[in-house]
Amino acid sequence: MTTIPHDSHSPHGHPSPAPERPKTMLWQVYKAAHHFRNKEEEFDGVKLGMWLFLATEVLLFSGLFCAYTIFRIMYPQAFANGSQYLDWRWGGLNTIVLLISSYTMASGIRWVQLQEYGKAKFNLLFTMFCGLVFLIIKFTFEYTPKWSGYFFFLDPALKHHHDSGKTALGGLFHFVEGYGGKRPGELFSYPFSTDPYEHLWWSVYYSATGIHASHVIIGMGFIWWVYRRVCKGVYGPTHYTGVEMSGLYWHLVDLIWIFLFPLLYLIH
Amino acid sequence: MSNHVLQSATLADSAHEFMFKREGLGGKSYFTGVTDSDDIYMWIFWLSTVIFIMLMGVMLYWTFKYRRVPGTIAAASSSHNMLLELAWSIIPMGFFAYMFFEGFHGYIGRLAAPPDSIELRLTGRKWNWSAVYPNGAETPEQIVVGAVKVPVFYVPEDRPVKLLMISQDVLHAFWIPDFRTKMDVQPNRYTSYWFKAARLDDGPTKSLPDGTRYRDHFAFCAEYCGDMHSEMAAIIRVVPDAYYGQVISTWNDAVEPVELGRRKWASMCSSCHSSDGTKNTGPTWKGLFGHAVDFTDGTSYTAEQMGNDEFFANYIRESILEPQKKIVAGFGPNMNSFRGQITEPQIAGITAYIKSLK
Amino acid sequence: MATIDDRNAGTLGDAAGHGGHHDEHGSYLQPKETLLATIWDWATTVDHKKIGVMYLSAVLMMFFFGGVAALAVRTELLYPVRTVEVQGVDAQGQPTTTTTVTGQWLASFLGVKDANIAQNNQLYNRAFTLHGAIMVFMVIIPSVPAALGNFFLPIMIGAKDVAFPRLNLLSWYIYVTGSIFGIMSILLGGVDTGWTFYTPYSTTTDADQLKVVFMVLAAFILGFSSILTGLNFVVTVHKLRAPGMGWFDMPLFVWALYATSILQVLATPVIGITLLLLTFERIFRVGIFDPGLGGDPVLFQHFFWFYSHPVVYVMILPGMAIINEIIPVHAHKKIFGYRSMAFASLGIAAVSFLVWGHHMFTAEGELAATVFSALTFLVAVPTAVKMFNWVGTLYKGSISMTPPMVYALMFLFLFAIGGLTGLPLATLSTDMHLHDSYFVVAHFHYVMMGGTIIAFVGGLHHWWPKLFGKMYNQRAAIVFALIQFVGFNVTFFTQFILGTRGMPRRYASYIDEFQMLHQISTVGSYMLAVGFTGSLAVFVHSLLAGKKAPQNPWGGLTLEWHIESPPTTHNFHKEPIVHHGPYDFDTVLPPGWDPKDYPVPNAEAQAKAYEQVEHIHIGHQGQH
Repeated sequence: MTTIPHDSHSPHGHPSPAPERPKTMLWQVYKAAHHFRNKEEEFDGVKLGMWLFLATEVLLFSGLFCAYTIFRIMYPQAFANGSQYLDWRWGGLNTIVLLISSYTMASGIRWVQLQEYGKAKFNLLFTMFCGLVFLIIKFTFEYTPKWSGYFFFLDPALKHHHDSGKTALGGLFHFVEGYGGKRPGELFSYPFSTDPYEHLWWSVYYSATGIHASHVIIGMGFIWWVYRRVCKGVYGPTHYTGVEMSGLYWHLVDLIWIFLFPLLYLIH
Repeated sequence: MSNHVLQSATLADSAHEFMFKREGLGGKSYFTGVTDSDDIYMWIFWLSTVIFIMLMGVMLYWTFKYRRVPGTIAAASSSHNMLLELAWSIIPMGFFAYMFFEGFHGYIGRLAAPPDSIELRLTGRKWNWSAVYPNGAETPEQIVVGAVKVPVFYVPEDRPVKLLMISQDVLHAFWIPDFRTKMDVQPNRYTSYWFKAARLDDGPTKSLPDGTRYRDHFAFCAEYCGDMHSEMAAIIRVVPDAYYGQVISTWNDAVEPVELGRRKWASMCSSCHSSDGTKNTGPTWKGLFGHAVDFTDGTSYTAEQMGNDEFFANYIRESILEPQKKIVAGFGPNMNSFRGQITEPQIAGITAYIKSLK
Repeated sequence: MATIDDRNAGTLGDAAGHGGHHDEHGSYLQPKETLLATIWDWATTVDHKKIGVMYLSAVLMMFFFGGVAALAVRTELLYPVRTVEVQGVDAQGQPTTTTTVTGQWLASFLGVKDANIAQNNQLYNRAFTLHGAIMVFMVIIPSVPAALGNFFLPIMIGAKDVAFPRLNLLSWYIYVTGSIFGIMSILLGGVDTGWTFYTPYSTTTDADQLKVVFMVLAAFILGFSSILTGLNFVVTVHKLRAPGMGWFDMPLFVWALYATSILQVLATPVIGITLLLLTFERIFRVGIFDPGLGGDPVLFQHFFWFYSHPVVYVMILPGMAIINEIIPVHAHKKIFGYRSMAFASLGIAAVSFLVWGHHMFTAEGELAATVFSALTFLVAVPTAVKMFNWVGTLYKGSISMTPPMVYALMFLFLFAIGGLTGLPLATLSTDMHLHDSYFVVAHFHYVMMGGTIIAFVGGLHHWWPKLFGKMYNQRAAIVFALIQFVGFNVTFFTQFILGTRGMPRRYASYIDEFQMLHQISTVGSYMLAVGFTGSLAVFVHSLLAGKKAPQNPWGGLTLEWHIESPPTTHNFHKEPIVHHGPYDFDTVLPPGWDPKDYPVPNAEAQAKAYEQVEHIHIGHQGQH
């Protein structure tokens, strides 16, 4: 952990060579940017800015929710069919993963404020790990079968289909003929569809979940940045702006999934 | 060339009619069904003019009267006046409400066609218009407008005509300025409006060679649709009712394949394919039969192949139904399939017509 | 009585630290030792003034490109495109007919051999798309907020900088990146979609090329820049106002920029998702807007205008904001109806979210058209209030005929026409005729150009002495302003007449009876070009040979006139404390002015005012 000597006059001081001397962490000497009156004003300002930014994110997704609603009204059967192709168990698992990650993120902030840096770092790393699990489930077990026809061998959906015997990755994935056509728009080639507009369902599904997944990746990037700074001792009880803001962002990413999950997986 | 009923070519004329005649919104309206859009337009125009002159007059007068004299400062005056501010917030609301209701009535009046209307099914495509009459006929007539030939749609005087419009590709809009009506033409839903052309006695007319009186009105595409957007026009020709019935029944007669092909060309193909060798969006049809062609994918057909009746007929058929398969070198992939819009006898007619263009 | 804590100490951690160790009492324009160091200093600056100046240069450059495209469009319209058949006799004495095409100005200027009509029209379509996209996304939207706003908003509220200086620099780089994407799409051959990108044309044209994607992404990226600037301004206004400045002590420029910023933050994400879906549509053919796949092109229009209508007010509110400053300062009089002006800004911002459907009266259903027509008339009310208030401010003023005042009067004239011609467009039955015609083109040019651009140029004249510390030739500036005024009306008033007579917009050619009006309009556009080139010359002359500007050449009372011209790096030597309203011209002696020149009526008030000026007028106290 980078620290600076207590008696240092320079903000760019070198780490003290004598470990037994009392140390000052970076957060203790933190001063607000020169144009703010004090740290509290700066924190309030950053928080206001972050909430405005979150509002823009909500509005970004509101366009997708709007498209979902309009096409659901235009083509109810296609959307009813479409949501039945999704497995609520994968979606539910991902929901739980994200809810846990939200909890660990909140705990991370709490531990930073209490100066319990070991616990804070563990919680932040665990949050990122949850994000990774979410993405793996999304790409490997949800996107891949629908796109390519290769199902994970434990996939419950596999039992209902005729197994062609073709496998990949040493039997981890089994191929099901014709089931890899659940693609958006013009790429749609699923031979068993019963409604001519099912491709629009997939367009909305891939756009919404794809843009959400990109937000998960951006959120993980923020948390990694904050994690590195926690390691350097930038944050503490009186200065935790960065952790708080990436926490807000991460909660928003979760919140959007909380809306997407029932809309896509549960409503038939 | 000026078939527009208004022959005004000078600014003075335009300004005069625009400013001072009651019929100001683009000259005289030839839509007798509703005339209130001109009324409300002129009402707004005069109201705006009065407000504008008052506002600018006051502004210029005060700017002059209260010009700065160095060494003085402005006399104290109130910085707000609740009554005045409320007045100029609330009073305009009354005017606006009147405009809204007048506009709403005129708009609804243009959409709801009377039940005895003649229904014209209008199709827009890049970049021409075609219309099918109630008896299934299509117009074979064209005249030059600007740089291209455009179709002439005959309508009877003083009878309501309803346009039921759809697009084959992108968005278009059908605007008849003399009738003050316009509606977008969309690829996935029908839109419509109606009009009733003014009686021929109510304005200037011209005569056909057989002495029949007529009056022409322009129709333009008003929604941007690509390269030849500005050439996507049509002529609405108002003729006496009896003549209208007679002419559309003759269009429906069985005709020779070459003439059938020429008519199809005139209504659907001529905006891109010329019959006289002129270079256009698509290759010319003149001399196509028996003439070698190169394609963008590097393949080519020899003059001998293209001179073979059966080979040629299949090539033309494929080009109409699946135009993206073979694209002639030097041209873009601009054409959409005509599948479902054209019958086999019509394709045969077009093939025969191309062969006739030596 | 100055209260100030030392804010200039070095900062740590994620404080937005100040880049270099430069002299904080010198002008912000002071160059570094070497040219390279100066360039590096500007490229990495977090100073809102330098960022504002960088925006200003970028915007002016794009304004030049957009202007050239506009001249190309107008020149093409000098003559209609015609197929001409020439009868002749060949060598054997046989009669011949030669078909030629005339009036293809763009094709012949660019040297396209044997162009057919479609090829010429393609060039025209690219020119007007270029003009529209550049002027809307790269000029008008960032012009006032990002250039002048960045420079003056923090100073006017007594702050040293915007709330997030590094984010501010990032916005500028995002703007540049977006503009580069736009320019790349032009270098690839240009796009012919129109700036509105209406589907399905925009998803099918030039099917084998990525250039439409580039232009769409350019607009998407520029949207990010717009969001970040807006967010920055909202927080700045909330958190960084100087002591003594309540909400209703803020200059109206700040009020209007605040309303604009809220619009930017709330509307831009919707165009973001729309343009993303449009990109998916082009690359993956997802079909959401493609009628061939069951999608809905009108849905695109709804999404597009849900953003683009509020953005019309993102464009005009800052223009009004500048007029709010120019008129009271140059009339030396308190603005009439300060509060109703502030609430009108917010009211316009709020109502603007409810009227997007009036761009689609001929595309949407009857019910929607009716509702949107009624709501549209509501926008007219606050706009009319502003007009009346501006004229009311002139009453019993002490009006100096300076170049900024000339621009302000031009704005009132042109904006009044722009506003009044909106009425027949909001009225359903007349809009059925006028929609997508030259009437609409003329209407929005009167608002966007006669409104925003004229206000922007007027604002440049107003703040030029403060921006660069140099005066300019005022007589020449007024002459070129008048040339612009005449040129503007010649160009666009004729287009009202063209529109009512039946000239559709976005036409490369037209029927013969429109030719004279088109030619008059084209001549007007050349006059405009002369006028703007002249203004540029006035500014260049000022930079090279202008006299040093005094602290307060016009007699303004807002905080930027309390500091040096040009400002020092930290704007204020100490935190200013605001004792008077922004427009108290009847009681306060403008800072830096001689009381003999501006006799404030009662002696006590005069003394008090002078004392107040001493407090705020920190630059001359020489402490620190």
